[in-house]
Amino acid sequence: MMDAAYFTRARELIGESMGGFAPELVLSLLVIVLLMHDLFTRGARPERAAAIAGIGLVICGALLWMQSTEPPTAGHLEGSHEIFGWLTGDGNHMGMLAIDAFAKFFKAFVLLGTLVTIPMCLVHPAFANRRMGEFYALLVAATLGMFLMASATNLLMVYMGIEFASMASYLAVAFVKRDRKGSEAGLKYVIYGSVASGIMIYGLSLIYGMTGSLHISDLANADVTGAQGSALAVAGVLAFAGFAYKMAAFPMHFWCPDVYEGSPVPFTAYLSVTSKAAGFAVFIRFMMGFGDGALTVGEGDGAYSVAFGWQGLVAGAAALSMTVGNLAALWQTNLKRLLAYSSIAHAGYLLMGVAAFSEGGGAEQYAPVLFYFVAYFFMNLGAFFVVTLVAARTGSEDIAGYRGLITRAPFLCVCLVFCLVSLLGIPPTMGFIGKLELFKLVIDRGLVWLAVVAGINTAVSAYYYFKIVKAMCLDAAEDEAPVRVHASSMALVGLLSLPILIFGILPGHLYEFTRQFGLF
Amino acid sequence: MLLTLSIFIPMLGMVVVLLLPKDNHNLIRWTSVGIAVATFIPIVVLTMGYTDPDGESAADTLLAERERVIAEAPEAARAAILALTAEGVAEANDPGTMSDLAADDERAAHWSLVKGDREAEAAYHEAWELAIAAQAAISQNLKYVEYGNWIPTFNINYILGVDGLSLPLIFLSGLLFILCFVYSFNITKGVKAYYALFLLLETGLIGVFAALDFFLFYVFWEIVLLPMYFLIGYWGGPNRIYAAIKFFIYTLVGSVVMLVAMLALYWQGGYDTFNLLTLIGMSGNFDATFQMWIFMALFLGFAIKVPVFPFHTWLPDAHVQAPTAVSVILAGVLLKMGGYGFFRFSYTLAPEAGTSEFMVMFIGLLGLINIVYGALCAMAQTDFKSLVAYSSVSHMGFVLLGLAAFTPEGIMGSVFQMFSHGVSSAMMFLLVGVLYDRAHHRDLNKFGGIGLQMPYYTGFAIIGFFTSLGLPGLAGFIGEMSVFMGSLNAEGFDWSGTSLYAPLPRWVVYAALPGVVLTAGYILWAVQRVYMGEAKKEEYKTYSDLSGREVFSLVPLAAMCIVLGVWPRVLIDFMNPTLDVLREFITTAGIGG
Repeated sequence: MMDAAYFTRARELIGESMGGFAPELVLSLLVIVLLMHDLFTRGARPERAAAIAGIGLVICGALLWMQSTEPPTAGHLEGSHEIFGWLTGDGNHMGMLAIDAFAKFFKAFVLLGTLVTIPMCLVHPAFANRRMGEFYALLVAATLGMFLMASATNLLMVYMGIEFASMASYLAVAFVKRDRKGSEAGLKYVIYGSVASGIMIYGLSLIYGMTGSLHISDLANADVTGAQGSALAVAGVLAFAGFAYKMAAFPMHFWCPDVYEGSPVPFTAYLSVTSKAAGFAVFIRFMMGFGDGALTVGEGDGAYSVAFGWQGLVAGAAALSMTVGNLAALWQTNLKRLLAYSSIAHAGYLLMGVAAFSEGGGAEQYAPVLFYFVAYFFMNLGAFFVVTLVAARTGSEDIAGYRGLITRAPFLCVCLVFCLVSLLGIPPTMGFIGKLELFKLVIDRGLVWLAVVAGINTAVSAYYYFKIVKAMCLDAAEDEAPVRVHASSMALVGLLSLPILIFGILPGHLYEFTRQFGLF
Repeated sequence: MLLTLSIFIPMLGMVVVLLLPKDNHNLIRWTSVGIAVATFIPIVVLTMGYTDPDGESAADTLLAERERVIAEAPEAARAAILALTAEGVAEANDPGTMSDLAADDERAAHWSLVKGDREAEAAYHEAWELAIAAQAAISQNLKYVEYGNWIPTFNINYILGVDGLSLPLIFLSGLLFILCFVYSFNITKGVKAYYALFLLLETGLIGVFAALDFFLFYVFWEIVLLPMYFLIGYWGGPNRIYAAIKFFIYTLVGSVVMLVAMLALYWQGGYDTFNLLTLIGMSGNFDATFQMWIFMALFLGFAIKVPVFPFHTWLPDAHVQAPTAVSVILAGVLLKMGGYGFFRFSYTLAPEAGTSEFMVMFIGLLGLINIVYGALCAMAQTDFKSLVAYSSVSHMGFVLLGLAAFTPEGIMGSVFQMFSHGVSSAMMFLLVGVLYDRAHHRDLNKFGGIGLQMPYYTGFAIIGFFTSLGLPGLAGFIGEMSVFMGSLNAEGFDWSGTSLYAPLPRWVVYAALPGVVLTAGYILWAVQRVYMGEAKKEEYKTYSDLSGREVFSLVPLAAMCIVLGVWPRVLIDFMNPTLDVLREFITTAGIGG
């Protein structure tokens, strides 16, 4: 029925979609501008490229800030605002990308992470006097991919977003030419990534076969009677592989340490925070798409339904991620590898919260995970920033190079101690509050065993976090020369570490704030 | 207000010390001593005023707070709160109302009045929480209660208060910190950081004993960890880094398990509160299995701190490696955090589990092992400091034994032992430190004849070591004696009307008795090897006797050893009313709820 009203509506939707897509459009333009910048600039002008990237990101951020999550016209499913879609039989609009609070949170998160990465790139020695437009273009392209991941409501878009972000990351990891480690890391990343996405697309296609739809909200309609139930389970596990790869969670975490070690420190910092967040965003949306009711656990009054039995799978992956990550981290001497394993462990803590989600849990249940992400943002980026600065001055990424840092760079050292204590999760830091709320959530949902596993893991992780603290504060420096860094870098490190303490003591308002970004 | 002051003066002091010039050591030292004294003043005022019968009790303060919440509450909440009051909160001292309040259907009915309105929900919840807290058994003896909303989003409040159990320990902390600061004048490496960390430690320690909100308690508990790690790790002996991380990880394991228990309590029965008094008020409603889990989880956290066998292995390492003043705080106050935790948290939150047959036997046996095993280990040491460290393990066993007995004398002895051990072990570590500063070794077999050369020092040493030995007339005797009396009496005690059906059997106590002989053995043997006889080395003859600084640190402790030994009523009368209430609550809550 292609009547005039249909076309009017379709035109309306296109306009609406372009409006909703404005931040992503800015990023796309920014990629092109940055590539052009290198072509039309004489000599290396890394600062200018950085400035362009920064301005572009700020514009994108402003558009994101102003973006309304309410659909501008009627005709959307209740509470949803999706763009680039089609009209369903009943006149509703279902699309490829959701413009909702949940997506907004993760987009803002990724955007801020990218912004913090830029000054880190500026102080990174391997990036000095080099044409950096290309690198920033890759960085922004990866960010664009992550934006798509955060919004994707269609399995194709899920896949595309993940691939987009990955492709740009593969290149950025191996950006420094003739750096053997970097090239090796890039190659490993590509190979692991291809395997993971291959497995994932297989799982997604099985799901499509069973549901006949690619839209996430149709996942709950999957016909799972009899043998198809187990087929859906297989498909779910396969799809999970792809998501776990992005989250750097067990069982797809193998790439993480090598890639983190090999890639330039600023990009490692970027990957560890933004890529993980985007992975969680897309996975949570996907998982919640299954809704409750596909699988009922327990009998009689005690019965409750979980989204496709995800709880068991996710809880298992969470427990194994933190255990594997923490145990492997114990033996690391390279700080980047150590933080890589630590980030695997943190994927485990975050997955623990995700395991406790249920469809009827309301927007409240997302707050602990979102809050923990905010904490993770500050503590991980803060730690990596110090690592970048110290590596730039001493050339060492080894724990041995940090000996006696307290006398060589007291401010950086104290900030790093704050970040590490927060990563470990003891009060009065933000990491502690985050962990507390995660524990609270899982205990409330009856997963006490998972909280105990996480608790023991926390104690284990004290060993390696304090290995760094020990080297910095208790060991004598081999080289007494002070590590001098620019005041602006110090200020940024301070800005990243201060919230850890402030929100560790007074987390209330921030927590209330994260509450409104749940998935409905 | 005074409690808050005594907690946060050291933290402010830390900031002040950090701002002082790095190289002016004396300025830093004297400033720190000044801060410690300034912290001690409010503590003394609190201690003097505690026995005043007109003082405001916790119940008054909490009910006043409740009035305030009601007055400020939105209209919808007020209706619900008043409905709640009509059903009996006003009849404050009637224990029956407590379970009424907990009845889920009634709460649900009131809840429906406020549901949906965030502010009203919060006000209703807070008023309810305060009503229960005001009625909780231990609130009768708590004084100087301070109440404030800290993180309302998570129902976390800033609640402080002290009673006859915690105030002596706070007093001891305040005193020991002054002595330690003075004693630490011989520290020359990183003076500023040393005193800054030490001051942070004081905030944590006093906070632990004063906090009445589980979350607040946990935060202080963890705050203690960090400065301790650095103090041992930077200023300690040769193997300090190993000792520091061992201490850190052991304690952290215990505290994360405690954290899980804390959160389980938060959710239990839909109470959604960290308020310790409220939780204690509700503890009669917790079912037996839950109580057992809670007890075990909390026990692990506290047992590691005490330390209870087999979790004690961090202690000799930490004590031996730590600098003298840190050892003093470790033995004098830090170990008491565990013992205090048993009284304040484990038994009150899980009274039924604590008085179960299994748990009485379990704690009793662990006490026995601690006493005998600790003493045997102490006897085998050749390092003077490690001997004192193991003596702590042995002495803390008495605390457990007295607890397991549950008789009035047992409980009293147990708490008295905590205090007197705090005094005597602190003194012994100072004494060992004095000698080490001169000899630069601690090998017991290489000493001898110190008594001839340093008569004043030896005099103090005799007081300190004999207190530890349990010589009548000195503080140690009272604690040990009461514990033995109390635990021997357990079988003969009239347990009718209580939930304790299987009192501690006598044989456990008999088995622990040789511990006293062993204690006498290792102490006398050590005293003989170090102080008696001829000087084994020529250099011992050149040692000067105590300096003014050392005398200053030792005199108050020696005085307390003697005063508490001769006139123990000072302390006993102070704490007994609290302990009676506690004991009664623990032994009857299992039935009453």
